[in-house]
Amino acid sequence: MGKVYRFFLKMHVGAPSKPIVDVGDKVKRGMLIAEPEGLGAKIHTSVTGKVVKVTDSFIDIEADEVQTKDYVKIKECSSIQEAVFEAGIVGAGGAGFPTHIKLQSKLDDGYIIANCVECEPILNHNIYLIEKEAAKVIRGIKYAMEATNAKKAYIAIKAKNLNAINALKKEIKDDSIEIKEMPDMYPMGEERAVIHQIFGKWLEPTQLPIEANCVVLNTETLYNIACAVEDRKPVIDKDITVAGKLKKGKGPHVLLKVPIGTPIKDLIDMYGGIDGEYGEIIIGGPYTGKAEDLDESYVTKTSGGAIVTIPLPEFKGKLGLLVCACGADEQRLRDIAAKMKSQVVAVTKCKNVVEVRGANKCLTPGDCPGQVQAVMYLKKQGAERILIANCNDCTNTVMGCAPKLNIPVYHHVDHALRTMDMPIPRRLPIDKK
Amino acid sequence: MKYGDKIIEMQGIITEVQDGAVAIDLKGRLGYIKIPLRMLITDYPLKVGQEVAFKMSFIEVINEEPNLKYVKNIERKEGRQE
Amino acid sequence: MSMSAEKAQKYLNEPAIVCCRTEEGTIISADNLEDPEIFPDLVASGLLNIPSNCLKVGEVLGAKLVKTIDALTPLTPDLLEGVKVEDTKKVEIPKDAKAVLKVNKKAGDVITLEDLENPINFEKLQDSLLINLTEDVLTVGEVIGKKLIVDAPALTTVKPNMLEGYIKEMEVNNMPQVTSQGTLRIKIAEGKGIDIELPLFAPQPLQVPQVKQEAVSVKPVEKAKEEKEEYQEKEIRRLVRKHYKITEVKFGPETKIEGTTLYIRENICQDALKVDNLVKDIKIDIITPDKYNTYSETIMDVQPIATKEKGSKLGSGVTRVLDGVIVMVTGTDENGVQIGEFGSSEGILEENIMWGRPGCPDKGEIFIKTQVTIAAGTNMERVGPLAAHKATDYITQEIRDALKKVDDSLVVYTEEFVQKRRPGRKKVVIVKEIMGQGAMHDNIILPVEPVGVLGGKPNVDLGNVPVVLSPLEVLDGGIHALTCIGPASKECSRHYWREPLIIEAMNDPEIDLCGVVFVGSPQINSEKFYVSERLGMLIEAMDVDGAIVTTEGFGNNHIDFASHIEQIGMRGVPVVGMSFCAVQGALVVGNEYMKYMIDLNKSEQGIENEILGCNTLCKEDAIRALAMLKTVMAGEEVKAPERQWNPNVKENNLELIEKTYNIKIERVENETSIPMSQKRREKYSTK
Repeated sequence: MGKVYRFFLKMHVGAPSKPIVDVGDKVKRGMLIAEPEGLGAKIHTSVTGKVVKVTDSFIDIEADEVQTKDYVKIKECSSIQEAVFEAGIVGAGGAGFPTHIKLQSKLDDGYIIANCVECEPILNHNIYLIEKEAAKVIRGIKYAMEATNAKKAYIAIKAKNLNAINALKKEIKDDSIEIKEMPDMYPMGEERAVIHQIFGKWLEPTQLPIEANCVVLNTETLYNIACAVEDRKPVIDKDITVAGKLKKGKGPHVLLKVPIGTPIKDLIDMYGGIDGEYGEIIIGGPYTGKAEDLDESYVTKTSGGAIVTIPLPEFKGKLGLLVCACGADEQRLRDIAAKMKSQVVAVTKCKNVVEVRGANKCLTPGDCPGQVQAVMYLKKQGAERILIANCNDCTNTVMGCAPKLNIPVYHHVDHALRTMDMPIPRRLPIDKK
Repeated sequence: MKYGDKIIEMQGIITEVQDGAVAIDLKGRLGYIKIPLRMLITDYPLKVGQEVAFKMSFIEVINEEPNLKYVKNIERKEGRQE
Repeated sequence: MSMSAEKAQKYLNEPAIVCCRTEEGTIISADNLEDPEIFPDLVASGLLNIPSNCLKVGEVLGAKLVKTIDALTPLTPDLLEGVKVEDTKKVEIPKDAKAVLKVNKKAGDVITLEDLENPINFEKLQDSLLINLTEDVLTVGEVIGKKLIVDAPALTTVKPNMLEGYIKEMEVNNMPQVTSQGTLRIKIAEGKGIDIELPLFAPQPLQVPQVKQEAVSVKPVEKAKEEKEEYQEKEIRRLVRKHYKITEVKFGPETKIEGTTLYIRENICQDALKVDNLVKDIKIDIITPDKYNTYSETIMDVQPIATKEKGSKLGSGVTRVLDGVIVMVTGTDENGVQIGEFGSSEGILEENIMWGRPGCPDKGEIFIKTQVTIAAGTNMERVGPLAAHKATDYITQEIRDALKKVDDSLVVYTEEFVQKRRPGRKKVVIVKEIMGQGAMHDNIILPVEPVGVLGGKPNVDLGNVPVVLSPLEVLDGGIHALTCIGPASKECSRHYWREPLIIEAMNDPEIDLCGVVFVGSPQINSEKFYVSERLGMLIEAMDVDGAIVTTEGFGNNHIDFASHIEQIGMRGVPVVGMSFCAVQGALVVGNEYMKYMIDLNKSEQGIENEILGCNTLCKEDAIRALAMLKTVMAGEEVKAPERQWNPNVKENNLELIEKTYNIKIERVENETSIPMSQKRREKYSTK
């Protein structure tokens, strides 16, 4: 029996796509296997093989022994939007919003914003892609501009990524594309934070970027647009960062073009497997990623990373949780608290959190509203220590008050960063230029 | 030295084996050297006629003026030999 | 040449460059990569240009090549897929950092380096009140390998009361009981009355200062508490040196000593001539300090004038020695060719001698300088130099006989050497490699009289196999050095008489010097390995904890020098090597055990200059070597050397030792302290 790849039917914002293959069908890499119903995206197989299982939520394909880099091309398209739709492109940064919808915007006098801010620590694959394929990313920007009629594009990238910036500069041939350097902090890559940084104004959490007359697209999404237009390649591969307690070194290891549907376990095995005892496997970045069961995790169109962490520190006492829209949600914090063997006595949210369409959004990502009330509340509820999920700026605020109240502070990314021997977020110098 | 990195291979023949030194004629009429035993590496007992090889660069004169100390030593030696 | 997988692990941070043509699709492994050790040469020769975006070995291993490339192509991101980017710099946790658990541990677990938190976050963790680094928190170095006796979650600071080993040690401090064997007996009450006997020094890993030879900057470990341990010293033997002062040397009708005047028989040379028919002429010059600026033939040896008192055997009992005067052997053959032609150190005496080196004359001393002329053409034959030495020794022997008769009232002072063993301390052996290629590459071992000829055996005749001497035999003139080339690095007979390494090691209370092994350096490689394998077996049988191997000069003796170190190292014995290396004496071969090296160079340019004794082993080198050996025996790491010879390394290490031990180490001078002739001065000053 060959290796089985799993393609989830919902790798995007919208409704799950509808399978168009049946068990026993032979498929070739690049072939369409599911179509959107309403808002959604097409899904293609990344491997050549046989369909072995079809359910409401996924399609399993058993891969043939021999696999090639070739793929079945998407049909010839008459417009960029069409090619993007045919290729099944969705926001590769994590949200998975169907890209063809974004490109239907008409941005006369508007802007394309290339979001090259990889703000999750540990993750590296976007910057790496730019260093290697700057020209193609730039062409992706050009196609997005052409599709939306935007006259201008900004590339938002952290000032510290010098090599990537240089690579981009080399490829920028005219002044319609401009690089905007961003400070190195979390959550600089949040859409509205990027817009704030470039245009100096905050969008309401309910507003979409289009209200600032711009469309924000992630690095890899732009690259995928260029692939769809130039190579007629559907989204069947994903860049991903693998890191943590791995036998062949903690990395971060960047893997470009991993076939979508690949079991995460395979990626971890590529680096020798998990090294000894571990705490969690975080799929995504340390801030927004979720701990997942290794045997149930597969690469999707939005997977960013797989991080194997050290065990969580035990604290068999009373813990208060401080939820923030920029980091973990309540469920994730409770998950961590349980793994720490702590007793959760109270939960509160940062006062900037607003719930929009079922998700937490921050009013002003990266700009703290003050946290002392939240910390005092948790203390009053009997919390001996607190676990927070805040952005860098808010974490600094928490650190301004909690230790004074004699409340030790855990951050939900600590264990991931300590695994990597990277500095944990506490009182980080924030450069709000 | 100006030409110290121009390394050439030299070969030679052992022409004399003494208790403390060997003398070597360089192939191609390129000269003659005599070296103390500790500067010669060998896997075999030494015999006249064995071939040797080494790498060297060119020999450069590093000062225009002769070193008087050595001039004197040489004169003394020549004087004694006459 | 490609690397082995282990080697690649060592060079994870070096540039990754393929060694051979490599095909597209290749998964990069160590086999594909060039050995980084040769990069500097490749770069220097213009064969290689390492671009700034060249990836590191650690980043490319396991990555896939997307394009076929030629040999010696640097691997850059555009050539590979699956690169590990920006491998988070391997953060080394310093041994003196506080120990904080990174993971949850249970009682009974042994703490390893991986279990400990990286100090980069200490400040933040303290700030978050998650840890509290109080005084009593142990350091990383102290806790590694120790067993926990309590459950401890991650982010716990490790304190003595959590560890098994520490209770023991605290008890050591509380109730030490020294047994007659110099070991410590402790009784652990809780351990149901088990008796443990352990060497006093074993459980104190920080006792030894962390000194590293080829290290540019090292942090000295805070000196562990100064404990005055008691241990049993065992006296093995004593050697008494009675010193007689000589202020004047004159010729007279007979050889005798009167007061502080030494008379040498006027016609003594006629008899010395008869010692060997190869000796064609011999004359004696008495060089007083005002004659230091006269010409001399090449200096073959510098020897003390000493003799054994009746009934004393070399290496023990009483030795009489003349102060203020030495014997100097010089000579040529009948054609005027210097004996040992290669080291052209003939010339003005004071320009050619590094005064005060162990093997050299001290300033102010009178030289009884023989100038021996031997048969034409024998200057390179074994018999030639030996004849010169024998003829000179005839004269010295007559002085020795006169010295034997001198009354005790003339003794100016008496010196006593006591050889002690220190059971319980780290057992150390010194291995001295001596020349054995033949002719002037020879030494006479254990003559009857100090630095005599009679009764001694040339090591060439002994097959160069290892011979064990007691430290006192060495210091009593047990080695008569015929070694006659490479003036700057040769160890003259007087060197052994004042051998600093042996004196330092013998008097070092922290080690147990068990003996000195002399091993010759034969000419042919197979003989070299024969000899060094014997040395290995000898060391194995000796069961030592550490060894220091020295060699003099450079050349093919470095082949056996390396082999000796390997033979010792492969038996798990830490071994420090000492040799003149610097620029010119760079080792011709190496092996994995040659990690701890002391360079004996003192010359400004790092070369074998012609100044007698300039690059020989001095006290400062001995101190460095012992500090390094103790460091290695304590399990500390020594930094890898820099690629290019850098004299600052030595200075840094000396400063470190001075700081750690709170002592002042005199630095010896080098050739720059020697007067230059007027002409030479002009030449150098206009340069």
